[in-house]
Amino acid sequence: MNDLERYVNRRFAKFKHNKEIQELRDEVLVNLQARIDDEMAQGKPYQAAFDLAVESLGNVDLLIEGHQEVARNRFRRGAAQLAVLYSLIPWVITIPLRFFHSGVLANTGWTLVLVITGVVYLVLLWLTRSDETTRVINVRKLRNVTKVVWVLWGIYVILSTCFTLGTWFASDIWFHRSIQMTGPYVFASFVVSVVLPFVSVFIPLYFVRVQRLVQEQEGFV
Amino acid sequence: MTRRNLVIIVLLIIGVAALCVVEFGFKANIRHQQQQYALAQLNPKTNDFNNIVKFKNPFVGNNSNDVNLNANLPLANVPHTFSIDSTTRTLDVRYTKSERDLAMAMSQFQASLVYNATANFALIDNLNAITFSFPGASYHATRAEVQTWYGIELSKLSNESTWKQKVQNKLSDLKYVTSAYQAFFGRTNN
Repeated sequence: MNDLERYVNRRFAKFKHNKEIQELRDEVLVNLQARIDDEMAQGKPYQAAFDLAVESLGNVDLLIEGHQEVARNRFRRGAAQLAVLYSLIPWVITIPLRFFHSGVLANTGWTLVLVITGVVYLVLLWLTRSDETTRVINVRKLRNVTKVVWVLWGIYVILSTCFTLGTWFASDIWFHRSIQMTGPYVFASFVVSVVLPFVSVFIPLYFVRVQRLVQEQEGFV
Repeated sequence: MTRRNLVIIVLLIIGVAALCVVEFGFKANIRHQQQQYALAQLNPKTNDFNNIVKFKNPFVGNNSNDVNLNANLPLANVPHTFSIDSTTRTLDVRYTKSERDLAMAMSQFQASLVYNATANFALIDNLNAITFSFPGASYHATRAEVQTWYGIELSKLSNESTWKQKVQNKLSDLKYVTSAYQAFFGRTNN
């Protein structure tokens, strides 16, 4: 293994060893070797040719499909700002539901999320305004995380709906007790417990929006 | 970014305003009404019959029903315990405060005992006698005595219009309260 191979292996060490990465590594190695040969043919010594070749390689992360460079702090601020917005909307929606016990719990939960995201956003806004370093985002990974979040959200909504319907109506099936819907407040309370889990749709929507934010950042780097 | 900040500020203002209206407007009003309602339940003249009729039960032995019924009657705010004598089918409500500690007008106190005894007899079918015990005094009434006073079977009082007409509305008359109190408890007061 020569210097160049060792160098390229080191640059690719942090990535998963799959076929795609292996092929890319080989391609980079061949290109660098060709560049070194080219420079040396023009009379440059090996070390100078090597330095020029590796300098031309740039950020290896960006060679991998699905990786995208973003301005680190601009992206962080944007993501934090979206988090504030996407916790603020369900917080406002659940305020009128504070007449019901489940509504109070949900609204208090969203208040907590809002306070945390708000503090993070303000801190990022004040501390990182001048720093303009970049970072690479694995868009493919982010897309997979979003899919997982959607699946988890779907499971949560199905389970909570089944639980709510079960607690309200299953006693009629299993214990032969009549369904108690004694007035408009009780009916509204039932509707609120069914509808409330759907408000959490803003969590997967946030991940979708962050994906778009990465795309929007493309031109700013 | 700046436009989004503006949206956040507008939503935040809307949210805070809505929260204030809900918590300090509507819910404060509801809480006040609930407090007024709870207070009204302690007065025999304003006690809600619909709130106690759901505790109608054939048996005095149903302890939780006895507890719940008396928790919605006048004097419910005075700490008390229960004792049931299943042989004589007597319910003994033992209050831990004396009459003097209750700081209640005599007419109000008498009306409360009359109302509570009537409610217990009207709503618990096999209750034979009831005793309201206070430190230093107890008041005992039997179904026969109370039934004689009203002149009808006591279970027939357990509908709203009859209850209001024959029991609740009459408690505004102080003379009536004194007479009913004497008829119910006069013999056994000690």
